[in-house]
Order: sequence, then structure tokens, then C-alpha cells
Amino acid sequence: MQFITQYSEQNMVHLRLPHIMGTRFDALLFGSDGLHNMNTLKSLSMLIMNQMKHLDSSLNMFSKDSEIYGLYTLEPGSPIYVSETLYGILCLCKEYYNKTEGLFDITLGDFDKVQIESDSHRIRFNGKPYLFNFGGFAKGYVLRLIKQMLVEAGIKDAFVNFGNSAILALGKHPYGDSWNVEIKNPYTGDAIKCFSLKDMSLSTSGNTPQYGKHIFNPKTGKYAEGPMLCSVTCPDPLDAEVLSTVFMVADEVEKEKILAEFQEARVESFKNVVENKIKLAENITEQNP
Amino acid sequence: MNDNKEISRRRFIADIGMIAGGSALITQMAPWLTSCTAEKMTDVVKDKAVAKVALIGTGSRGMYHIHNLLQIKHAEIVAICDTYEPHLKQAQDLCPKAKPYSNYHKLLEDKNIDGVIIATPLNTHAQITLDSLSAGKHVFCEKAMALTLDECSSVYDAYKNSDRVLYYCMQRMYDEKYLKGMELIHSGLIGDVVGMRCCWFRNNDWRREVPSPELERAINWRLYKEYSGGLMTELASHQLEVCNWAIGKVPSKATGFGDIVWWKDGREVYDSVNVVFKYNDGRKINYESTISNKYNGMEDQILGTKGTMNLAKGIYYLEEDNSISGIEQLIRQMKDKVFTSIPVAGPSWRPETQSEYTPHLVMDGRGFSVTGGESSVGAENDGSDLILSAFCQSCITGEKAANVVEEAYCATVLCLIANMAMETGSVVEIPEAYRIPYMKF
Repeated sequence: MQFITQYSEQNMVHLRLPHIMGTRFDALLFGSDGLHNMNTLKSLSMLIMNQMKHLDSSLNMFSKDSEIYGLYTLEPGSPIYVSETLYGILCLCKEYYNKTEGLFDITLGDFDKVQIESDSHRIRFNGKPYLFNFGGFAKGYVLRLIKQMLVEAGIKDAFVNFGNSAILALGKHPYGDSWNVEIKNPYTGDAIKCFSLKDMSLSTSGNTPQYGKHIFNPKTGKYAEGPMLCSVTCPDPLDAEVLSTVFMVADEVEKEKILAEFQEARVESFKNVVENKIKLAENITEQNP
Repeated sequence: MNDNKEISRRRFIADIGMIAGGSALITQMAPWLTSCTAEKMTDVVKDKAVAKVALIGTGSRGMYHIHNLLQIKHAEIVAICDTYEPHLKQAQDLCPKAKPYSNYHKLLEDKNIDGVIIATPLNTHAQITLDSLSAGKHVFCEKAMALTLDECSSVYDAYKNSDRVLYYCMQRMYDEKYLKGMELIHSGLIGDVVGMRCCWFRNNDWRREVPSPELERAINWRLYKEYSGGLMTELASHQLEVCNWAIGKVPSKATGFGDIVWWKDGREVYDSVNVVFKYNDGRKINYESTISNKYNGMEDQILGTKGTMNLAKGIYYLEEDNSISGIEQLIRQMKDKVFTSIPVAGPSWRPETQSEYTPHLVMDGRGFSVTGGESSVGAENDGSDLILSAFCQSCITGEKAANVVEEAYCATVLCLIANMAMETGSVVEIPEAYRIPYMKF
């Protein structure tokens, strides 16, 4: 089910997907430069929607019809052909694995046993097959694709919210000079921080009252525990997504090394959000590329 | 339940405390659990220690406990006692090696018994508990604590002066979904608690089969005031305990109405009660129970400024879910030509606006049992097995479970003043003489 609503007065289209890739998706696209009318924006929305549905079907580890589930059922050892899309994704994941000291790992501990053959769209499991877990990746990947589509289409202003934890903010609010986004403390409901975003992505990972222990360190086998959040802003939505999860479990030495690989990223961690009753900071943090 | 499964359940309960960065929360929120951690259970299992226990009262609830005890590896039923021969026989069929008694005093003389489980009519709870403690036995007694305020006071004083372990079967204190629900309440998820609504609706006459008329009062003791506190002590005591647990306070007053509306069969206790308990800060518990209509089932609702926790169902609802989402706010702002910040970011997805509240599971992704409250005997996995296991462990280690007796005392006192209020048609306050230091008003 999807909804595309047009707002002619604002020259805006709202694409709403109530349930895609396990969460909700909203995109506000603006034809603010006069080059895009409602029809153009709606067609662009449909393109985004179809792209997301395609990715959802490939990457959904809970669906037996997904490509990654199919790989999981194969015999180990021999080379396996994968789609061009999945091959590209796995190469990206390998790159992030290397750049994050092994903390980003879609196999949750055994990525070095996945062999990606160069230039052949084949992979090999050296050992048992893995059901790849794209949590901490997929939303950022989708937002990166959407950003490319919007930029290529000449869209200057857009606000895309993928499950609240991954946000892409292009250009500005029609009545402001940026997009101002608050992070809410999931324990108290208070606003923790307000980010002023312009051509920037914001990704937030953390524990909640319901999910107090769900972010895993593949190197130590331990979970990030306690009421804490991590927010990352970065021009690249995928970098932001990967880093917000990684920084929940990285130690100080690892953080320093990783940040050297992602120089445009800005990381903010919020710890003990229950005891410290963290409320909205007085100053809004401006995040521009 | 085998040892590994129980250890796993205890670890899950311990993990509930991790939400605040360690065991501090569980120590404050449910201190009775500190005596039955997974680690302590592991020691018991390793040592192959066994508590030798006896049942006093082998009617329906006693048999329920026997079934649970037979699954507990660190418990051995060495004696059983009931004054009613058919009940004793049914227990013997399940526990052929247990020594049978018809007189509990004789049972208490048996030095081979570490602890007793009392599942007799309410009017006998206090005396049997006192006699058992005097005999040097650890005691696990069915709720409620006693039939009168004086008896409650006597038991409490005896316990405070004894080194023996005493538990009351307030099983919600050991029920995972209640523990998780309480943890969410105490973490502020539903905001400040402003009230509670509890109910227990059934549709049955609450009777057991009576083979001959002279056994009516002995078998259907729940229906007669000489032996029973009626719906309040038999049902409400659990729910009142939960309300107090949610806010760490005890109401000081009660008022209400009780009547026999439907089951006019010679019983003396009410089949329909409506009671309001008032805390000194103005918060109230609205309590209803009727046993001639089951539509509303059983609910323990804790009402907060930001949401509602239905502990019995393991579900909570958030007030914010019924307000507009961040994106809707943004669109509305643009229509109003307003530029300001929007509260959309966070680590988890918030459901979109719906006309109905969205239920959230307290233990999402993990199965848990929910009882509708229809059973007059007991439900599965409602904490009864864990609290019994914890008692048996205490029989071995001698470690008391913090606050269990106090919680049972408070709940029982509230039930008794509610009955007094309904009888007299007045507002009844907890008398000063029956207030214990544990009570926070």
C-alpha cells in the first residue's frame, strides 16, 4: 500500500509507504525551482517507490522469496552467482567492513569467510552460508540511491524520513533556510537535540525501553547496553547509517581510526539518557556539508 | 520446567534490569528477585541440593502446586496433608512416596521437612503459618495473608522475629511480562502514573462439586464469610499488589459497594464488587469484579500521562500514537507557512497516526502467556512456577525474598478494609495500628 498526495500550493508531493523494509517511509519532494510540476514529482515518487520495493524483495532476510534467503539455502563451498545489485551491495559492505575495523559486519562476525570474486558477480561462502543482516545498512543505502535520483532529476529541496532513524534533508524548508529536526529521548519523550540540516543526512541508532539490548559488536560478541543513542550527520546517507550503528559499540581507539576514514561525518553520542534526563540543547547544531 | 529452561528464564528477568545499565533497576524495582538469580540457581543445581517440602492442603490449588513442584528438580515432596480424604488421595496418587497426614500438627513434627506449602482455606492461613514458623519450617502460603487485620499483624510480627523464610503466592511479582511491564513503567515510558483501573470478570458460580451437603462449607469455603474474604482476597489481592508496585505507595482509604446480584444460591460473599481505593496524593485504583459476566475479562491497567500499560495482557498504548506524526506536523506547518523543528528523529520507528491507539507488546518478538483470568485454579507460566521454585531455593539457602511478605501484607490489608467499607457503606481508612513501616502513603 502506498500513498502519493500532492500539495499544489506548496508545489510538493508526499510519498508515504506505511510499511516497507520493516518500517515506515515518507518523502516530501518539492518542485521549488519551477522545473517540476505535480506530474513530474509524482512520477519521481513512483520511481522511488518501485526501486524500494525491488530492494525490499531482494534484501529481506525474513522473506523466503528474497535473493539473500535463496543464497542461504545453497550448499557451501562452490561459487554462487548473485544479481548485479546484490554484488554491488556486498562489495560496499566489504568496504565498510574494512573501514570500520570489522565492526560493520553483515554476517555478525564472519565476513572474512565470505569471498567476493572480483568482476564476476560471484561470491563464495568458505564455510556455512550466511543469512546476511542488512540492519544498519539498508536504509542508508536506499537514501543514497534516492539522493542520487533526486539530484539527477534536479530536485533541490526534499525531506526524506525512513523510519525516523535515517533522514535525508536536501536543500531547505520552504519557509526556512534548512530542515530542523529534533531527536526525541525514547525513554522520556523529551527532545534531546535539534539538528539543522541542509544537504545532509542524519542517522540515529540506539537502545529504547522496548529494545534495550539489540546492537551487537561482532568482534566481542557483546551488545551495546544501557540507555544510549548515537547520531551521525554526513552528506552521504549510507556513511551516516553505517557509522551510527558502529559507534554504538566502538571503543575510543576504534572510533578515532574509523573517523579518520570518514572525515565528513560528525558523531554525537548520548549516554545515560534516563538518569541524566537529557533535554534539548540550547544551541541548535548546524550541519552543512 | 527443566533446570536449563528455568535458568534461561531467570537470565531474561535479570536482563530486564539492564535497561538502566545494570542490576540497580531490578534491585529497586523487584528486590525479591535478588535472592533467586540465575547465578544462585546455578549453584543450587551444581550442588544437587534438594528442598524437602510438604503440602498442607491438597485441594485444587494444592494440586496445582504439586504439579509445579514435580517439575522442580531442587524440590522433593516428602509429605502431604489434607483433612478431606479424597483430596489427600488425589495427592497421594501423584506423590506416592510422600508421607500422608490428616493433621498438620503431626506433619510439622517431621524433622525431615524443610518447608511447607500452605493451600488451605483463607481462615486457616494465619494459624498454620504461625505454627509452621514456630516449628522451624520455611513457609510458602497461598494468598491472601489472613482473614482479619489482627491475624495479618500477628503473622507479620512473627515473620519479623523469625529467621525462617516466608513467601506468599503473589505470582505476578515473578511473572516476566509484569516484570517487563513494571520496568517500562519505572523507566517513564507511560509518563507519570495518574491512576489505575483493575477488573476481574468471570462467568461461573465459583463452586466445586460437593459429594454430600454437609461438606458444602468445607469445600465451597470461598463462598462463606467465616472462611473467605470473597472476591477481594481471592482475586483482587493480586491486582492491588500490582498497583502498589507500580508507584511504590499504598492507598490509605477504600470505599465501595458489594452485592449478590446473580448467584443467589445461599452464598454469603458478594458476586459483584465495585471499590475505589484512594492514595493520599489523590490517585485512585478503580476496582471491579463480577462473576456473572466475563466480557471484560481481567485487566490491570496503569494509566500514565504518556500512555497506558495493561499488565495482564502485556500490552501498552502511547498517547503520542494518537497524535499527529512528525511528517504530518511538518506538512501542517508548511500549510501554515511556519518554519520550526520537527520531532521525527530517533532510534525507533513511531507508528503513524491512527484513529485507534496502537498496541505495543511489552515483550515484542518473544512469546509469553496471557491469561484471561477464567481459571479458578491457576494459569500456566504466570509466575506461580517461578515463585515456587524460588521458595524451594530459599529453603536450601535460607535466604529470604525481600519485600514479598510486605507486599502481601499491604495487599491483604487493602482487601480487608475494602470488605469493611462495603459492609458498612462507608469510607474506611487503614487503621494506624495496622500500618507497617514498609507502607508509603
